[in-house]
Amino acid sequence: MVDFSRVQKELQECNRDINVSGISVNPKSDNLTNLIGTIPGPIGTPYEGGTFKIDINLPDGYPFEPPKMKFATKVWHPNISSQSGAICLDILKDQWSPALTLKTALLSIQALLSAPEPDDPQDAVVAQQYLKDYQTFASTARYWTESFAKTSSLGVEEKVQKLVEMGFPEGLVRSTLEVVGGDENMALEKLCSG
Amino acid sequence: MEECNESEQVSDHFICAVCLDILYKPIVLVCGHVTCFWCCHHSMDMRGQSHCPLCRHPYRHFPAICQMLDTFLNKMYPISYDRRKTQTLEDERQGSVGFATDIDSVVTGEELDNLLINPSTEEKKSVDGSSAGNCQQVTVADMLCSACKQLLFRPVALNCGHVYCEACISVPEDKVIKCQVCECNHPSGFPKVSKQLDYFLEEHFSSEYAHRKSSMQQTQNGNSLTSSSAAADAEASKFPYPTEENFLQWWTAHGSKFHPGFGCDRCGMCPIIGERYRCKDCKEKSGYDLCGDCHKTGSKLPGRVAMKHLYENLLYT
Repeated sequence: MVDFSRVQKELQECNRDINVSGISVNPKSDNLTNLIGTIPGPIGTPYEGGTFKIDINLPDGYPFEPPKMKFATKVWHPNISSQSGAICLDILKDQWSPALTLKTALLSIQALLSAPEPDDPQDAVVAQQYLKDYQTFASTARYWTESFAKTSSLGVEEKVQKLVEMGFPEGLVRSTLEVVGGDENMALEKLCSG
Repeated sequence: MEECNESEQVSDHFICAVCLDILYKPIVLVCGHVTCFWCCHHSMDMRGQSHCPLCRHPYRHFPAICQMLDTFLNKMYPISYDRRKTQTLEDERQGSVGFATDIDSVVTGEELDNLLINPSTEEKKSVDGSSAGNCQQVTVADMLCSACKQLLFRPVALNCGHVYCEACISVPEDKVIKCQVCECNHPSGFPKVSKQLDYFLEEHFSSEYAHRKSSMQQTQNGNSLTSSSAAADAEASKFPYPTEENFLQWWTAHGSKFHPGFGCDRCGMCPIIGERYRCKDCKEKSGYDLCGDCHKTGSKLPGRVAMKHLYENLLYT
């Protein structure tokens, strides 16, 4: 049985200093076993400026068993699967301790973003690239951050302007962008198909 | 002192790091960290060496409840403590694994029946004891060393849950520390000072604490402590647990004497290594077990988890 009173306390505690840490945890549904955590990409890394979402699933034994965490945002990192988002981090496995919390786990993941461990990889392709050609790795990671970890609301005005310039009425552009979740190409496709 | 209202502000020193609530039935690990009885129990590795949830310090004996802290917290934060009591009793009843008890209090079968049937008995008792719901003045008398009977200074707790000043513990010739109150052996090496308790004492009883500190500095000539702690640590590592590398080798040598999942209800050794005696009358899932050494001493103590059984019918397994 998950200790829900503890989870509740953790959420309160974590969301209290959200302005300092930038880390937040919010329930996905009512039952508190499925949560979504967000961490800002650490400054001075290819992940800077991105906001990464992490899928959290609390097993029955929580906090005596580690929470199941994986990236919901696509990320290019030696210890995170570029396909599934699975994270290779000891504290999420055998080094878990019940005195750790969701917030400390997310902080560790943030630290992992700053300090990759290519010798203990989760994604072999990324790790190889990191070791052999760091420049390409960094630019790929930055490109992925730009493409997947930037909140779509940031560039909305630009997208609207672009589409309006193509000759679509502004009202329709806005509503279409909203329908497709801010994806510019999908919006264009939809607008063209009528 | 503290206002007595619904929203007691529990000091951070007394928040359990595992449940993030006020410590309930606290136990002090050999590294000095304090958690609730059940929080520690659930954190333990029943198959091998356990580690402190806070500092990962390895330990192999589950400590008994620290009665001094238990009484103290009940006095200091009666409302929160009462809430935890009701909640924990409910969990214990549902989990049917027995009730957390400290080593000094003998729970009779009758009392246990009451606990099982009537949840309010325990609470009534505490009301009679004039603790529940009433904020009481906490004094130095609640925080005394078991040996020198003065305010605790750099407190350490033994495996049996009794608390001493660090300087009041003497390591005898045979290197096995023995509790002066209950005569239990302390098996886990020289205990470390419980920092959270120490900070609290310094904060809360500042003048008395300062007095103790100055008198200690006069008498202390700073010798033996480090050497004796090293000796006791060496004693504790006499019986090594397997590591991943040497597991097969270890198992061939000790496997038959290794009882994963069973802890000794007297000294807390978990899992039991060596001979194991099991009570054949216990209906509870967790049962009552003793290790070889504790069985030899003919213990009639209630054990870590209170349950109904006769202490005579121990079966060697």
